[in-house]
Amino acid sequence: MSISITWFELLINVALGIAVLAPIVLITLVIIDLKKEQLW
Amino acid sequence: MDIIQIPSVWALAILLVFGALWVAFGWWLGKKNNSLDDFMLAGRNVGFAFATATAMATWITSNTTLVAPQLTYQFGIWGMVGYSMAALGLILFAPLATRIKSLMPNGYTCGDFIRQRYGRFAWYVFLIVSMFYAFGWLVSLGMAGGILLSALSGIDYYIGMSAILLICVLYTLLGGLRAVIATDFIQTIIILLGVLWIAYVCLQDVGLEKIYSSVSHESPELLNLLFPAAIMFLFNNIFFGIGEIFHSNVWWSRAFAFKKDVGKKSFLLSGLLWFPIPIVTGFIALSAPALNIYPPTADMIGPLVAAKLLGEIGAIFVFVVVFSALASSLDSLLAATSDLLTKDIYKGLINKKASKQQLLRVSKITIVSLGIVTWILCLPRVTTLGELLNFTGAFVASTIWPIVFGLYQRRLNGLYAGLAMLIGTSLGLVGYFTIGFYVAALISCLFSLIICLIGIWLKNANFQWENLNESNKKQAGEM
Amino acid sequence: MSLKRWFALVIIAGISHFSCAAEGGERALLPVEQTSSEGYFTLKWDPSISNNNTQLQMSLNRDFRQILQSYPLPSEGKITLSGYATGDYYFRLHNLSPNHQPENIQSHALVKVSHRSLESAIQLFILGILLFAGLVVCIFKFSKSESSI
Repeated sequence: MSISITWFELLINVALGIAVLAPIVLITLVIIDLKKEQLW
Repeated sequence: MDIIQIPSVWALAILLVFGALWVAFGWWLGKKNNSLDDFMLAGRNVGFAFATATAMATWITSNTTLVAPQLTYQFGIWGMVGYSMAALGLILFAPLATRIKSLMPNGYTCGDFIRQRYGRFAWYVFLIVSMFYAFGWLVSLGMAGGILLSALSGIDYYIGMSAILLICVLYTLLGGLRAVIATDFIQTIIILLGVLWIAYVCLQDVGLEKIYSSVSHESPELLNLLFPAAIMFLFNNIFFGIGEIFHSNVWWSRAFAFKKDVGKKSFLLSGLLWFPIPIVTGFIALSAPALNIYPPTADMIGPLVAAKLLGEIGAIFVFVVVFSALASSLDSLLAATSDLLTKDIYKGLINKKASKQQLLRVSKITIVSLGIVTWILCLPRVTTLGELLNFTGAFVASTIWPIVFGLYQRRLNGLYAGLAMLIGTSLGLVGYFTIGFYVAALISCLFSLIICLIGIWLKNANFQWENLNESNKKQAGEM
Repeated sequence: MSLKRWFALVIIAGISHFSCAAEGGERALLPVEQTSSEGYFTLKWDPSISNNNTQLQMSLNRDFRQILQSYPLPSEGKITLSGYATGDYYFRLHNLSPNHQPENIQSHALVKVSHRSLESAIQLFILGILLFAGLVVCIFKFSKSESSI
């Protein structure tokens, strides 16, 4: 039983979507912490 | 079809520039370190952003950039999905991190906890497991460094491996955990951008449809959802990942270092953000048949595909990404293993009355010694990356239940906790050699649970949590 | 037979055996036969044969009547292939240059792929799910009642 092309595309695209979010979230968090002087 | 190699002069220049950058950064951050707590645990006050980034970066290792494509090439869809399930280790550690911080606000290492909670026997077994894993991981990272450099540039395996170890030892030595965490943040961003760029080019140049059709034509089993060995691999990898995180001082030291109330949410978020990374790095391996790439060994598939997709400039970029991934884990592991050796072996066994200053000095000597020992162990390039690391699966998975029961439950005593780790590991290794690497962690975890349950049923240790906190306070006062 | 002569013969025999092995090894794909229960495997050859004119061919028959797949040769002298379904696969190194003598076609290697039984894999999968669910439930329950412990 092979994964269908639809599910294959869905899997990769969802993964890519979250992976694109990751650096944005991390940089935003650092800017917030930096402003609040809460980095360390 | 061979890989596009960047000139070795360029490779050396990149190593030199990035190396100098990390080391200078480490030195600058190290200036803020005044005490042992500063050096070992970054002042125990790491905020949410850095906490999340360091958890993510440390968990993105050479495994994610080199072994995830390798396992996808070997096990297909389940290989990459199974690999991404290692994020569950981070997610499940979130509540544990809160518990650790509240039980031992002044703790330093996971060894501290095991010794105080379970006593000497379990502690010895735990230290053996922990050291075996730490060295397995260190060696696999050192070897990955050498393999990467030799694959992507003309540089010799030994030179590459030595350079990566030297750079990481230097900046960890200069800046302690603060340097590790701050470099982790920059390295995470570099890794994520690099991985995304490669994936984007792969989608543009090859496309998902072509990838799917060429794999289903040439390597149909990789798309098979009922691929037996891959199904066996799935949960094994989950327990392996959970075992790695639950037992390792790399993660415990972070639980101690993060600000109060930050641990839980940062581990949760880093787990969620980490989830897709192995799929993104893994699916690139599936484009190999479409690109007419067939690797000499499975661990070479990632760099081969990336360099083919991106050309010479890409090869440089891949080089920087994997170097960052290696460094972000190697530094954490050096720092955490050195803490464990300093606190548990030196203070616990050799010099029980060691002062704070002595411990700080020993900790630094240990970081250098660890680097040298790892270098020696990396000299013979013995086995493929995945195999080396999976060998340790049997060890770490045996610690999951003793740690969970130890943190939350009063009944389990030291004898059974130690036996659970000992028997779990042994049977896991039997599974490794008789069935395959993809069952070692599962078998180990299962038998460890059985021994724990027998222990809980037979005897009630009735452990008092105050003992943990009191000896902690005493220890903090001593130091 | 004098002792000296005996030694000389032993040495000559040793050398000739060694050179034969080297010549055979140069042309052969190694290992000659292997089994794989995961569908991936590695084949090796003398790296000096790796060139643009030579490729690795795969067929389901020993006589290579129908070539199902051809692979370019990595210069390292080995190749790792994956995703093979259960079955017997024959591989050979084949020189494509037009003036090449057909008798120089290299000997073949056999790879027997036999996947593990799906039944035992599913049993392990179920075991894994149960163990994992147990762990999640334990951690969840423990951390909920944390304050009361």
